[in-house]
Amino acid sequence: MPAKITQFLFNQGTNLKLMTVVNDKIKEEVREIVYDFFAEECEVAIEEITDASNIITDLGGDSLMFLALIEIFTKKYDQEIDLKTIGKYSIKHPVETIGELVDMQLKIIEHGNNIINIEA
Amino acid sequence: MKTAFIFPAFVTEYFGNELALLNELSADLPKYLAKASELTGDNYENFSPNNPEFIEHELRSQIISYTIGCCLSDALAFKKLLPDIMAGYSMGLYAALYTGKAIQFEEGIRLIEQAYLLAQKATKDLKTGMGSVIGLTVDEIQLIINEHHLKIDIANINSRHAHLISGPLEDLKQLLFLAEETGALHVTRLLVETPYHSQLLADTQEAFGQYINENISVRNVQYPLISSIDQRLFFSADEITKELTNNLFKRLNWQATFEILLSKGVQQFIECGAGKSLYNISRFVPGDFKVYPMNRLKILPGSFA
Repeated sequence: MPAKITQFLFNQGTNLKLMTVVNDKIKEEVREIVYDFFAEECEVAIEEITDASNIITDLGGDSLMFLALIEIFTKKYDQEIDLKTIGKYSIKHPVETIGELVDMQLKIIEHGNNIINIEA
Repeated sequence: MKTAFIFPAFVTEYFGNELALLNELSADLPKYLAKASELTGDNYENFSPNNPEFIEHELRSQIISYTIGCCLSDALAFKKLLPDIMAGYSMGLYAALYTGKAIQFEEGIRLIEQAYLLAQKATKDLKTGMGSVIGLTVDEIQLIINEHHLKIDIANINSRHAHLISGPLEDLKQLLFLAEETGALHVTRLLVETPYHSQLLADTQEAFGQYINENISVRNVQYPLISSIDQRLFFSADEITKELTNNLFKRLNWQATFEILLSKGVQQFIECGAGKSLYNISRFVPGDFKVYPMNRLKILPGSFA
């Protein structure tokens, strides 16, 4: 069952933005999905994956996997994400490890397309 | 349940244990490699997935990919696993034609070599290449091409947000840079200098067609084959020749090809080649199906006991 997430609208200037509160349950759920995904796709025992695992050099992952994960989470949390905003965010905040990927995914869930405007 | 055999083009990422996997299925791999060596004058018996001489050399990588595809499909046929329908991804077309008995193994090698020579001739004074753009739609990439007057073709629509591009090297580099600035998740140049599926190779059509007519005994294919270019089903020798010549310079739409296969009731796809590039692309197609790369054939329902 998808975790129940709280979404609310707030006004910031003239723009209405959709925000999601990321609680501990969502954090755990995202981590579990990311770990399961890479264990399955890279055929690696889940026990061998850590937050410090490098997605490409340690696990043999690729950018298509990143895209696939984004699609999994946008469906799961019913988000409408413009991929270009994530691409632009990725240039400033490149992802190399599983831990960084989990963090970025949580930011996407929390901020949606507004991710491009956050600092860290 | 309908089964499709799908054939990858040259492979850039191997599992690493392809030889062991193939040897479990068939004792004939050395014969195929010896034949490829004999036909080309090159040494394919030294092939190893970790040897850059095979991965980074464009012609060798095509020939080894073709050889593995042929060996694997023969091994599956020996075990009575036959396709209901087939599709070849780019240069994977040659192994599909071999599997469908439209050409012989030797003819496939000669076709690959001739296509490569004609492509080199067509681009001899040009620096060219191919690249990958992940995260933009075809319209978003085309907009960049149009706005910056780049002589780049979108070579292959792999999925809604994954494309290959092809053309002159400087324009290619510029497009990759602009795509990243626009918000692509990932851009990269491929280990390919020949601009396959671009208009730069349009001039190969006549010469390649003539070569095929004069040197290759193309026969009707024994299993339905779907075009990766326009998704039509074709069987006849004439249609095969047309597909072979078009395959060098026309855009492929693998996403549409895959969707047509699903619409025809295919639920099981066997990736007849090394690596799992087609499995990776298939993640983005919705539907109730499974793709089995070489390393997952053991879990194929009801086979290889």
